[in-house]
Amino acid sequence: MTRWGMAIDLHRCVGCQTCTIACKQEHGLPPGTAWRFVADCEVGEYPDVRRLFLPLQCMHCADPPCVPVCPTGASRQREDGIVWIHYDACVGCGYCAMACPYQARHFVAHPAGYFEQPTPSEAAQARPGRHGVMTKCTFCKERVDDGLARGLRPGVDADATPMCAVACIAGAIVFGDLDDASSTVARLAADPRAQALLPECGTDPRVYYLGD
Amino acid sequence: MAASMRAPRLEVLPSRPQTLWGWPAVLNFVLGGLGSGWYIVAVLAAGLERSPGVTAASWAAPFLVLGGFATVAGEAGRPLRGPWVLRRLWTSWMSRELLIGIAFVLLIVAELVFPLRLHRAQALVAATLLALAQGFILRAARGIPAWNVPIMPGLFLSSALLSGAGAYLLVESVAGRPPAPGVVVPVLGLVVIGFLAWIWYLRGSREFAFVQSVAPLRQWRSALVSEAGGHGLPVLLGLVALAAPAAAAPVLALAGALLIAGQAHAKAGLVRAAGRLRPITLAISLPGRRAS
Amino acid sequence: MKDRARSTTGEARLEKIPVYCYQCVAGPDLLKVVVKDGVAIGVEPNTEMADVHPAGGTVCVRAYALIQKLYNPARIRTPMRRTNPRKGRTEDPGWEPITWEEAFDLLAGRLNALRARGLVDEAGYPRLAVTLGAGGIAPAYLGTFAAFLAAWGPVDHGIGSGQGVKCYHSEHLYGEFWHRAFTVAADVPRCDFVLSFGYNGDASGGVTGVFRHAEARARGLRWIQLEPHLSVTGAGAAEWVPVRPKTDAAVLFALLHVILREHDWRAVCDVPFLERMTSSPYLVGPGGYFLRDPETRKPLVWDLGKGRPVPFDDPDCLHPAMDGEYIAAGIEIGADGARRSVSERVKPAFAHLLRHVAAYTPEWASAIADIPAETIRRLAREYLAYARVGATIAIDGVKYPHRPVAVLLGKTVTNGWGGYECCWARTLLACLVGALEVPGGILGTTVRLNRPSASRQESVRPGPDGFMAQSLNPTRSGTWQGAPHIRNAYRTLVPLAEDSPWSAALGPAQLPWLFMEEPPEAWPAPTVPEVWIIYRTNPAISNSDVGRIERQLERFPFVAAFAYTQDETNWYADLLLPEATDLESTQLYRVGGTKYIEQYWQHAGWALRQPVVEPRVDTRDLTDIATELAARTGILDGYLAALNRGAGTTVPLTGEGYDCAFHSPIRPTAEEIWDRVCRAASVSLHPGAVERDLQWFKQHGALFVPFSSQRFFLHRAMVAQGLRYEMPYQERIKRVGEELGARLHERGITWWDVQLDEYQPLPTWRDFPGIWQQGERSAGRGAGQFPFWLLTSHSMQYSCGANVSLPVLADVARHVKGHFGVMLNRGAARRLGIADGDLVEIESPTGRRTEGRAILLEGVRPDVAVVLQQFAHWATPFARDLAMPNLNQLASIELPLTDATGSVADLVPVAIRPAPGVASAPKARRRTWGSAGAMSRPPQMKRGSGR
Repeated sequence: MTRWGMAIDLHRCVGCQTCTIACKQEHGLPPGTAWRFVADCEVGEYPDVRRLFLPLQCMHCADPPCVPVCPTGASRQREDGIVWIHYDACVGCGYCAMACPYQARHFVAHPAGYFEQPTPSEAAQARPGRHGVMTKCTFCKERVDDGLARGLRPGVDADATPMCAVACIAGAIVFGDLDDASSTVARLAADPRAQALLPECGTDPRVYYLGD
Repeated sequence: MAASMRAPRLEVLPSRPQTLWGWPAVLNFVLGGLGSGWYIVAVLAAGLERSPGVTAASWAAPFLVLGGFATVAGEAGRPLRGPWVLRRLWTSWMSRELLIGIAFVLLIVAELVFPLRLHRAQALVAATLLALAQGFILRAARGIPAWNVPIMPGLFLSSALLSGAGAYLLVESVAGRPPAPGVVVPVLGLVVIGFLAWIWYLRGSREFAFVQSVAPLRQWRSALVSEAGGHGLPVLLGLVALAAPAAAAPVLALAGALLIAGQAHAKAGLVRAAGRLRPITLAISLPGRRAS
Repeated sequence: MKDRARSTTGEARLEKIPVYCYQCVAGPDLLKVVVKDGVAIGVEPNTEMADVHPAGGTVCVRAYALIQKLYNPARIRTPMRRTNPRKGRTEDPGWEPITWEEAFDLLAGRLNALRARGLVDEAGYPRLAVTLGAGGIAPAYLGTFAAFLAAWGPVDHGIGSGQGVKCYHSEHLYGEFWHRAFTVAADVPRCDFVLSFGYNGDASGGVTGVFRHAEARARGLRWIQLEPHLSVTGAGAAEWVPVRPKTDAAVLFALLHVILREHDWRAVCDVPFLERMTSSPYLVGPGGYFLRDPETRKPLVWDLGKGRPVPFDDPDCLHPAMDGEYIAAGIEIGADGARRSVSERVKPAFAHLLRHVAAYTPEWASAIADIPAETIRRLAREYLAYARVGATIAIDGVKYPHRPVAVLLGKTVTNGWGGYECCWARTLLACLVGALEVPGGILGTTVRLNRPSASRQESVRPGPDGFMAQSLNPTRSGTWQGAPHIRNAYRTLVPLAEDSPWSAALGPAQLPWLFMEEPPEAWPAPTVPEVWIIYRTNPAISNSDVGRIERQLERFPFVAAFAYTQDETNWYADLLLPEATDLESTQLYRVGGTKYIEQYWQHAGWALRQPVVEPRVDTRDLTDIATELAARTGILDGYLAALNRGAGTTVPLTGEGYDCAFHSPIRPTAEEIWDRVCRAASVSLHPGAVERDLQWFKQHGALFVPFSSQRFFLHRAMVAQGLRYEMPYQERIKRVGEELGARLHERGITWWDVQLDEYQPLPTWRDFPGIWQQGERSAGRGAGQFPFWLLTSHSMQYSCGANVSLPVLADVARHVKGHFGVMLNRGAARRLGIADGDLVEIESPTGRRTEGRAILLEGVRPDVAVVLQQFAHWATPFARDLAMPNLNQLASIELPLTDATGSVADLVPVAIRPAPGVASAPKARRRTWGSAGAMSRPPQMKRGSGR
């Protein structure tokens, strides 16, 4: 059984937002929308301060709160754990965004580009079906699925791996099959330093953070 | 996890307001609670019998509930897909809310056509479920600490009854049928219970994210409207009405209006002011204090 | 490899075209542009190069914005001529679109007129000046324009756009002097401990730097970050030490003190390295010059075995004295060759050093730098412990010393006053434990002043006194070039700038702006250039004292600007030539080996940049422009000869076993030129290499050969030639300084006297922050009225990419703190009544003001304010809506702030207060994404424009 997951090493991340822009490009996201971004966080008081970078995205939870609340069934979870949204079925009510503890769901009411008129690249990447509905990180399921269809290994071969992990310049983002004990992501997820965000929410995220 | 045990969980990304549910959502919750609560109070006040009060509620409630649905549908990105909201009855309280709301309206229509006690009882149950369903909608929102609490359905039911009672007092008094002490006294009891439920909600959790979220509702200005204006003053007015029956009609009408306004304010506060996304915490350590 | 694919439906034609990105000097990096049905839709890492590229073929955030850069509707779309003869911020240029033919007529006409009257004006300055953007970047986009300039003759390349202030200036000059290290890097993959004084490599070190740092942190590298605000790099450090600005030298001196005075240096230092690889044992005479053998003139050391002085290279001297005092005879050779016989008590240079650092105790430094003395002691102890003196490591089977410790210096630390002191102390710290140019330690990554530029190893040649040969600009009587040949006079004023093609940019590149307005005494008054050509640069934003820059620009008679969008400098231009962007032109560029910053690869070769789509606007490849201008100005022969020499391309078109040169006077197209360069470059990689033409490179993107890691380190080259590092005692610097002073005084020039103070053999602490605070006093403002230091910091999203007009970068940069406002300490701001998001006014002692939104943080010293990069645009589309302040609005170009290398540092004492008339500001300015409107918009004169 395949169970896609991700491990993010916070000691590696430098908050450069390369994953952010690569994701925006891969999915043709409009201005102001980022399915993933790196939060620039600060804790403590001067001079005992810590600044850290926390990449945030959909956690593709094993128990995703966003899926059962969805009234139309647009929010779905695949057998391999990927949580996704069937845009054609979504009413855009925003309920899933209220259910998600990770601030990972996004709504774009109207199509808009960065300029008054769409650029050729924006026009080529336009996805009208994604307006007025909820959107979020898909673990680049199209890349994963196309890659698998071509015999590639997600997490190993770039063309079958989510774009954020491919683009990451610090090697901080590792994607792969959590059920494959030999995979890097499974090893990292089992690391004692690995932690999930907001375990108190009982969502069992499939994105692990390697921290202190 | 080991890391969680080693280091404290520190808030690394603060809470921020949810922005997707605005006034249409508030209106849906206010109107849904008002419609269902009014019907419940009217039917109970009439002992499940037909009465002018029940008739008024029966005519008003469907418009209120459907009006709420229509308003909130306008807030959705794809309102024309509204009927698809019924697709996930077995998991989603939003689906159930819509189904129950439709059932409630249909049962009232049935009762108006065939004024059977059974229909009233069924509509009564549907109204109760509708109020609860709206509470369950918020209860299931794990991303909003102020909503994701067990008391939320109960709070919504209580709120529906209070605002419904308010509508009942207002309309009946204006119509020259000021409710009798036999109705007023239980209503005052309901208001006290509602007040306790509201206080219990506001102070029922010490979780930082919750306390932070409901802080605006605990500020004196909000308390003045919700607690004093929406609970305390109506109780006082109710007691005045009981003490001076001659002045009951205007006094109870005012008390009713205050109850409605108080609950509308509380729901608006819940959705808007307390509707904050959960802060992100992480188990990390801080550097030790240096001599500098 | 260029990929072509058709989707399963057969509808879309998808191509992946390999190119390189060189939007910062920490490149180039290799990427592919995804082109769908002729439209570029994305950028992706070139994973085919993962085994070659140190960061697995990735590219940083800026590269992804290249797509928007290509399609930005606010681009200059056609050549344009200015119709409004008046120049000024409020004067609309009145751009009139013209054809390229007209544009060439206009520019070539100007150039020909200039040629006709002589290439140099009456004052001795070139009539043509050319300014290129940020140091090492423009050449990667310049096509063959450098060959045109080489053929032209005298060109003033020294009118700065921020060089010297925004770079690692002291490091460039002294680093290259001491260990051929124009840029200094830690050997991070083999390093265990880094003391970083403001080095912000996780923002500025490119993907290679970021990747290596991340790998090192994962394996346990301990990184200590000393800096006034907690930068991106500080975020990843094990410890942040918030040092007071411009006091880094005091901390470094105290580290030297702890190691040399509080430890038994014989026990903790790499004594063999000091004895054999440095000038530590050289005896120093009473005049401050090395004691020399009267006959051979070789410096003497005291042979403890023989009990007498011997030449430093006496093979029988096994134990040279490092400490103590000895009576010895010899000569000193001072300034201008003055000999002086000596026979008295002398000490080795190292003994002078021991005495020199005695006063620099941690307690002393603590009071200056606001760091606990115990912290300094602990860091020194850790440095020694991690250094593992005596350890070795095998590189490609060859044994090297392994010293896994490094001290890194950031900008503002390593430029302006104090830069020399910091660079000296850093290099000396490496020498003390033998960590210079060995695995794990610090190493240079490129040479720009010495030759050959492609090989640090080969640039090591024996010079006098057992040191490397240096090509300093002459200062001796009779050889000193007293008449400045360009407006920044680097040959005249800065001996260490040497005289390579890069030297013009490394001279006092800010001084022309000052001297053009305020000519100094006894100096040929700098004229404004008659024709000024600019490319990928915006000095009206990026140079200090932007008001002064604009005043001068109003006087420039003819400015031709290669322009991407309207910007603040080309607002003053007479001719705009639409720029072919990164993805629209052809160029082959040298990749790998060792280059700037942290670029040291295990491969070296060439990568191609090529057009990925059909031209979007009426632009021309810069190579074609260069050829056209060469033909129209009658220097085609010289241009082709320059190409044959490899001018600009760095590869001669003829060499052993190949001849791709132009032998007849033709007008080649860009494709023809780059085809020859591709063929020459490929066969030049190694003997017997297969020739690859342009088509091959278009298909494959890059060609590499292995590059041995041994070539990262100078150690073997130094040992093989018996050379020593010129450390710790700077006899040559002292001599050069005295000579330069004498020359200037002979001409009656005294305005450079304060700079002459820097030429010290053992640098001493001066009140460096006080130099900037002096301006406060001279402006008649009381001490304490300007309690904040305004500093800048690097933004990876924006640096050097000429990309401030791209909204997508603002859209992602907003997630990184500092965009778009001024960072302040939360407690300090609270005391001033400033809340997060409030508009604050920032004022310098000179009365210049600007404004910005407060971003309140804990990770900022309470006496510091930080603004990222250089913004405050008023003409550049989109950027003009960002409402970001710019330190350059407040920073002055002043001689007292200029150090001996001609550099200043980015810091200004400022006052900060809530902006007047703004009681409660909105939390954040709402930005409109679709604001890239009409390009010629009369700008609004804002209060606090910094003019």
